[in-house]
Amino acid sequence: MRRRRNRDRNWFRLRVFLILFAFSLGFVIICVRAYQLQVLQRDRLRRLAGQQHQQYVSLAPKRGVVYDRNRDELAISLEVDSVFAQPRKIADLHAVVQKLAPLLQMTPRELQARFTREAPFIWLKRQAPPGLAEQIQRLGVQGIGTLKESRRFYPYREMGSHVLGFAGVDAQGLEGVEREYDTYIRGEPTYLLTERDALGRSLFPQGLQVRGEVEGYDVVLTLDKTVQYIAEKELGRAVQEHRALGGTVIVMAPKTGEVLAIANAPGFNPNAPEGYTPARWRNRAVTDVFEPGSTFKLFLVAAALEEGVANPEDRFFAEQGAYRLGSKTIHDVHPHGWLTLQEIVQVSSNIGASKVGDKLGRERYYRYLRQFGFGQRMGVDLPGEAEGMLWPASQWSPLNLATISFGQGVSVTPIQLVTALSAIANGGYLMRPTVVRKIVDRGGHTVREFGPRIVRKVISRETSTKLAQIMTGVTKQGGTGKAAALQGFEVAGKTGTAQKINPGGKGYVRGRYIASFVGFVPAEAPKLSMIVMVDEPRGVAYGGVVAAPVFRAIAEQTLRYWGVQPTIPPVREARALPLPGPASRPGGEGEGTSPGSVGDLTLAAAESTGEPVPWVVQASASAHAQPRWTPDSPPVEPGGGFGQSKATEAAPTPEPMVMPNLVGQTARQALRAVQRLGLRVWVEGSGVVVAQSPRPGTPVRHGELSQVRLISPHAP
Amino acid sequence: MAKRGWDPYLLFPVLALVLLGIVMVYSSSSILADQRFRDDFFFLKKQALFAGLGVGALLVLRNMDYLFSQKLALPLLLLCLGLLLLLFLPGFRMKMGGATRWLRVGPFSFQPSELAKLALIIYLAAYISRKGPVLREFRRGLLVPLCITGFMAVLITRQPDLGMAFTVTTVALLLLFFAGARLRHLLTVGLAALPFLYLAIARVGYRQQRVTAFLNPWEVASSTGFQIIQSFLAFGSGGPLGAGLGEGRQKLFFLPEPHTDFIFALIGEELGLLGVLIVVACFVVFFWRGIAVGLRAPDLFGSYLALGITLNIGLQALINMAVVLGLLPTKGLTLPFVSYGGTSLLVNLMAVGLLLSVSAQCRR
Repeated sequence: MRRRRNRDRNWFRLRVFLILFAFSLGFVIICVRAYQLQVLQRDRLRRLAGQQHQQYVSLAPKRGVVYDRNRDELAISLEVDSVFAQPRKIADLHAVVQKLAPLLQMTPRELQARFTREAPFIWLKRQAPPGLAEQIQRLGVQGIGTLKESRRFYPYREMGSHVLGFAGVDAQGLEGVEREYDTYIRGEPTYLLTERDALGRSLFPQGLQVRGEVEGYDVVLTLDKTVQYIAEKELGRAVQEHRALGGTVIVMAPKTGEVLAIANAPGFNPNAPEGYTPARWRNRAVTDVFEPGSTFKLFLVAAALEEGVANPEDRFFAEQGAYRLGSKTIHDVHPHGWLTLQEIVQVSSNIGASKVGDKLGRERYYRYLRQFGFGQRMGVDLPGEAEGMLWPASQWSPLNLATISFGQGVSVTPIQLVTALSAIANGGYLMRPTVVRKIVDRGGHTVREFGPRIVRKVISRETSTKLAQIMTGVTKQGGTGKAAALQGFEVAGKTGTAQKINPGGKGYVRGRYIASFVGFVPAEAPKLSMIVMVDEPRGVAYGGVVAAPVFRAIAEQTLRYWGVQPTIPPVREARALPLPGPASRPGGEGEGTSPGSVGDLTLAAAESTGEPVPWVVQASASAHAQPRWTPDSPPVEPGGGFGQSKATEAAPTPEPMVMPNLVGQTARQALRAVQRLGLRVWVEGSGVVVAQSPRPGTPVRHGELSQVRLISPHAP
Repeated sequence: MAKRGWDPYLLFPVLALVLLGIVMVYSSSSILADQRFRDDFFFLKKQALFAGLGVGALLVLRNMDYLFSQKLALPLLLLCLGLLLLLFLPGFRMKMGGATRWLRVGPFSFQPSELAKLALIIYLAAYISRKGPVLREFRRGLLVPLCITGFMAVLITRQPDLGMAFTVTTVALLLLFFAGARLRHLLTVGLAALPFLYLAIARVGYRQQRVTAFLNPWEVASSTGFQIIQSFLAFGSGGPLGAGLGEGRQKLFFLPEPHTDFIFALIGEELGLLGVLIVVACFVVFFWRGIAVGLRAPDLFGSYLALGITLNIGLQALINMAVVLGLLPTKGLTLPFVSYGGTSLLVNLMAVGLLLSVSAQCRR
């Protein structure tokens, strides 16, 4: 009995073992099979799966809105109808083709050809004109239908088109911001399910089902629609007037590197980009290089000042207009003798610049040019940015050094030039140029924000102040850029006239020039920096004649639009200031200047003294209500609160001081008050104070340069 | 008999599978649910509800002495056979996808064959433990359980649910094999059943197609091979690590019944080979532990009960996975604990409750 039980138990165990073995084998086979499908055959199966998913038609997703900085819509998506066919559902293809062809403006044969492909779904007409959809629906043909798709629409047509770019029929960004930020703007692709799901079971009785609709994010640009409009209008006018090939304008907020406007002429209408050659789509402000010419002297002078190689008053001999260097001779437009550094910029002397370059030396000059960002991409958030060309200093011959000193033998992009210019304007900080401020979702929540980013500090605040002052000479009497002068503002600028490089090879093209002007305004506290380039103007080609007036027109309208108070008071206003009584009037000082002869303060002062007039800020400037963004309100003040700044100036002041109101005081009183605060002061004119900088109540720091302007009061 | 601790080797794999099931049911069915019921949580809610009920039932049964089920064996079996017969009366039944497998119970549907399977296992365990060595004789021992099994299998086949009938029969035969029935007898019965199986397949068009589709799916890829090829594509697109939870595309468009029979393919697509191996590992741990409990149960009834329950779940899992991986022809079988299905989940969790109860009284 016991043996029997043992035998039974052994049998039982054997049977259990057999079952366990069989099942375990089964599980092992499962694992091996899964490995085979998921690892060994993976690529083949995945490819097949992909092919089959493509039968699912993707619809253009609804792209996000592109706004300008004031939230005006520059690019929006509209719903439009697209006509499709499901060939398998069509009973009588021939009849359908005959009916549809006239509506779709196709010949029956063309239409018939569309149906040859074996597919459950085909498009007949994407983004059909309004009305067509209704007509087709009214036909009520089985297997033909319409669907809502989204189509990009640019309400301002050409305006800002090179920054915006455009999107294709499948809502893919193709150019500009639309392309650069496509991943944000595009959203999730939308799928259309046809009825081919499983074994004839119809999951979707209506046959078609739209899935996966996820709208894209909105993008807020740094562009200001109004500034953009002004820039395009004025550039277009100049191009037409000078019968030029084209031109480019960039307006930038110098403190932040934010691009306020990019205009390229000729433009294109992004609502119908296919009507232009692809060259017209190109944003030449970032993709194309040119030889900068004389505007480049600014960076030479910046380097020379920063290195202490030259001071504004240092003199250089300009060789009376012809300077032989090796086998070549450098010429000036007008012959000059001895010129100060300031005058070299003012009259744009090539020979003078060569002398400065020689004194600075190629290594140092090259280093500064690299620091200013030349010969490398600025990292602007637009597609296709060019690097420009700047040979390493070790390859420069003495002649190269001389020509590069006045901007020949290098090539730059307009965006490089305006960004480097902004570094001069903002106290020495090279900013990364940006066209997008932030990305927001449909609920208005910020997804990403792109604050101002400092690339590096290039020159000191002192250098930038000195250079800005030198540059104001350009727009004054005796300067090459007088046409850029603005009433009520000091304009710092520089003209450039460069012969075009032969695109085929070496040398220059005779008689073909690029006229340019770069500048910022107001010179003492720049709110905008700008480059104006006009390509191949006919007739007079000087930058001071062709480009400078464009600068003036754009800057004037932009400052007025922002409501920026003129910083130089017109004389009538100055006279209206409350002047001190006769008791405090310093007798005899400044006597003899007739107020009636002072029509335009800037010009008058320059004419009468022959000296550059430093800038001053109107003391009576009232707080001006600014509902819109103005350059006074960027989030970061250069030199102030930069976290990553290496600037020594960024050290916090121990105690805050404010600028006192000096208006109406005598020169002596004003000097005493200002020096008490430890400020340096630059006094201009004589009499009583009518204007000052900084404005009263502005926080000031020890050692800061302040200016006062005095006018001798005339008792009637 | 003092209850000892919870058996983690049984409990944890099961809970893991149930939780995975709820997640995957949502991932696979949300779009379908949105289509059919305007509520993408529809299937998720029901699955979670039944998981809750099932875990409750599991707790109750775990804390009871499993021997009570021995006494209930016959009444339960008769009740289930009655319910299966009810399916032939028009008033109570629900038709879904061409099959009549469900009874309507208020807002819910109930699948009697799931419960009948458990009832049969309990009945067989009770019968075998009572008869013992007599099972070696055909007439005195094997005839009664074989007849009952066969009757049930016929009823289930008529629903029609051949896959279920097949597992019920197989589990019964395996249990009898364990119990010491002669292999000769069982083989004879099996051979005798083959012609019926053949007829059941050959006379029904779609079953025949399923077999041909299984034998060479790629040749009939656009028609009957579609389903299994979609399953392959799901596994293939998943790769080793998967497309990510919720990222599967096969479920949206192609994979038929992704939340029930083919949920394993979706796991393969979204969680990859890794997910597949984890699921297999859960079943393997559960299966080995279940068999071990069967070997160490304090009495014969507990032993056969544990073996029957373990074999049933193990077999069903194995068949489902094999079908989805194209190793067996398509059947209407779900993956235990994971697939959507209220009755199945509830009954399986009750069975695990009984199994845990046996485990708690094991000799250690």
